[in-house]
Amino acid sequence: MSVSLLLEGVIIPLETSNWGVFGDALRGLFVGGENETIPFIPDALFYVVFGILIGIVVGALPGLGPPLGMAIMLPLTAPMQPANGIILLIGVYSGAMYGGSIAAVLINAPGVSSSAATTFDGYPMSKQGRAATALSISATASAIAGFVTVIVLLLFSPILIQLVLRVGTPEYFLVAVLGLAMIVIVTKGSMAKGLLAGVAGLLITTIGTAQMTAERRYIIGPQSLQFELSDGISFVAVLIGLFAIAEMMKLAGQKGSISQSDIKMDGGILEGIKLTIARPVLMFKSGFIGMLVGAVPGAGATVSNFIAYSEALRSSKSPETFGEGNEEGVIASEASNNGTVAGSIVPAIAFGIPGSSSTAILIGGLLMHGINPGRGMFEASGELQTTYIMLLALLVGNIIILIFGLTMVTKLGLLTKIDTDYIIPFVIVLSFLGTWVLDFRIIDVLSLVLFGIIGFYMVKYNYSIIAFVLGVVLGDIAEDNFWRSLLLGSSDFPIVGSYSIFIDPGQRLLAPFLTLTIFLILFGPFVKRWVDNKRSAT
Amino acid sequence: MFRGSIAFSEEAAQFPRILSALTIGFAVLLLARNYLPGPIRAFVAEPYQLVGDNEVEDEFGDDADETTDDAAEADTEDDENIAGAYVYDVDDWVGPAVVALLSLGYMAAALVIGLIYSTPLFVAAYLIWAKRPWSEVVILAFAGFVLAISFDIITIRSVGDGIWTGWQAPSPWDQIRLFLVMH
Repeated sequence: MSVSLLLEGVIIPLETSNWGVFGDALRGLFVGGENETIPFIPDALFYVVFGILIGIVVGALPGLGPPLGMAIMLPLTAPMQPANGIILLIGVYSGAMYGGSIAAVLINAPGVSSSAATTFDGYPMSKQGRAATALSISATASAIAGFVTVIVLLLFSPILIQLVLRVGTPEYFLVAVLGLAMIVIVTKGSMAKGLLAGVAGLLITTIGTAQMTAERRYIIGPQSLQFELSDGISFVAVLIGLFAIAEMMKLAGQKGSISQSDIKMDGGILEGIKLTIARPVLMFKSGFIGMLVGAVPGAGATVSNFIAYSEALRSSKSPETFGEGNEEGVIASEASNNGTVAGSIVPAIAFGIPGSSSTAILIGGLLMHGINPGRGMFEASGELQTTYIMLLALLVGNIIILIFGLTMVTKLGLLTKIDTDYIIPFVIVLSFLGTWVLDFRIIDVLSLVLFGIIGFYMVKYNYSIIAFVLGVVLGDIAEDNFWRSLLLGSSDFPIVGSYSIFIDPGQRLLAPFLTLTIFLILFGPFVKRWVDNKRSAT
Repeated sequence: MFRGSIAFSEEAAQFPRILSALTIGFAVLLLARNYLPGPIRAFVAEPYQLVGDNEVEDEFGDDADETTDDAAEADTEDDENIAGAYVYDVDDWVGPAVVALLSLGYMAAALVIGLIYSTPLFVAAYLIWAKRPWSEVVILAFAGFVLAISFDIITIRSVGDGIWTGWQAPSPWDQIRLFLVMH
């Protein structure tokens, strides 16, 4: 049974059979089963709350952020039910996005880079004796914008499902490459550095047993290590190394990130709520900017927040007060922050392309629990229920952020006073313990430290860490789809042979379009500038 | 890895061969970035950003004879000026070096004596380097010990055994019992 939905003149069938799956997801989250860990509280709901609280703490600690919190929690989710593990990670992600604003407002040191825009007006508000108002604005804007964007995502999910289910094997490989290309041009500097990082990440996943022939590739070292290496390098260990060890090395080299003076929690909480609700257009606009920019691979919350902040500045009646404690600046930045969460999840679960480092770890969590991002996430017979549970967990998480943020607003300043000298050794200890108990493999512990040190220098010298992570996380899937695509491709094609599947519209309609897009994205701007330069020279 | 791929069958070699060739290619381009012409140099050395300000100076052909040092400096400046770029801003290089060395030491100790006993040693070593008071060093090292033991209790395999050596640490409980008996 199906109904039809009109979308830009295209009739897309809306499968009502998915409503049953949605109902199961709702029951899973709010009703639970018979064997819950805590009586009368569904495990899923417990993990949302727990994840949000952990996330807020991690986000509020200067120098830490969502990727690190999620990386540390990742191995701890291994023994859990897959849905619960993913919910916990989603909770940490969402909570940390909000938590980052606490340090931004109180000590002008954003817990996460995405909260940098919040410091522009949040910190001046604190200096004016309105810290509680700023934090209350942050909680309200984060929660409401986050809530609404997830609702929109849920409403549009049937369309998304239909679109994703039409994508085939060659397109999946090309979408992975497209994601890499997007990340390279969106995040930072030299394209060659970004591509080198991404390709190196992919290359690491070729170590171990080849999927197609069961051959052992690049296996070296003592016998016990060879045995472990045949299962490949664990991307979880690599992720923890990149986000925990590397970040702690950075933190040890930074000074002055901890509050030296007593923070006074003045200002009104109710005033903050009223100020936010009185600006619904700004809040929703910023939330949707966050959602749309967040869906672009690699763009992440940092970029979306600056765009939302700039738009708030442009459309404000009093732009001259921005940077001096204008609450509109805090609303725009924080609404966009949590809107990004919903947006960045779309490419992550649909194509396995992370919108940010945090979603890269989320993909890692999915893979660790045996859930492959892609069509399976949208099939009623596959993991559609997990997808719905993730989105519902985000929805509930925003309500928890609102409740916790508003009730605990006067206590949150304590988090910013925790010294990094206490944080650093314990984050590293948790990384080691978590990595070891993951699979009890020596190679994982070695990878943790090795990639931690490599990751530090990669970021220091501007090699895109997210491109590297994308490569490490998606390597196996990319190779599998690449190999299958070549099997499907016509070998009769001149010169390129089976590779023709990526460029011949006769074989696949979408694949050549994606190939062209990748080339245009990577080389188009440089060719255009070169041509322009030649023209102006003549 | 490119050379290593020769030993594999065609199916298993294809993907790593392409990737390792690309890695070599990009690495060579980066090393030779100051001597590259026009658009290739722009692709390799100049920052480009789709989102945010993208005011990159057009330098095609103009600075091909720059000295390596100058070009590298300009390159670094370009990198630092990119909106939204995430680059570590490190004030003091001793801190990262100490964390890296202590992590390597922690790993070595975990390989030999396991994580239960190496954890408090690592925590104490870091805090001593950070010049924390002795009372904090002792309390937090003990907290690290408790954390490691809690992992030992909840996991299926011991955290206390040497990861490489398999050396079995005396159980902390036995140690406490022995201490009590002796005193």
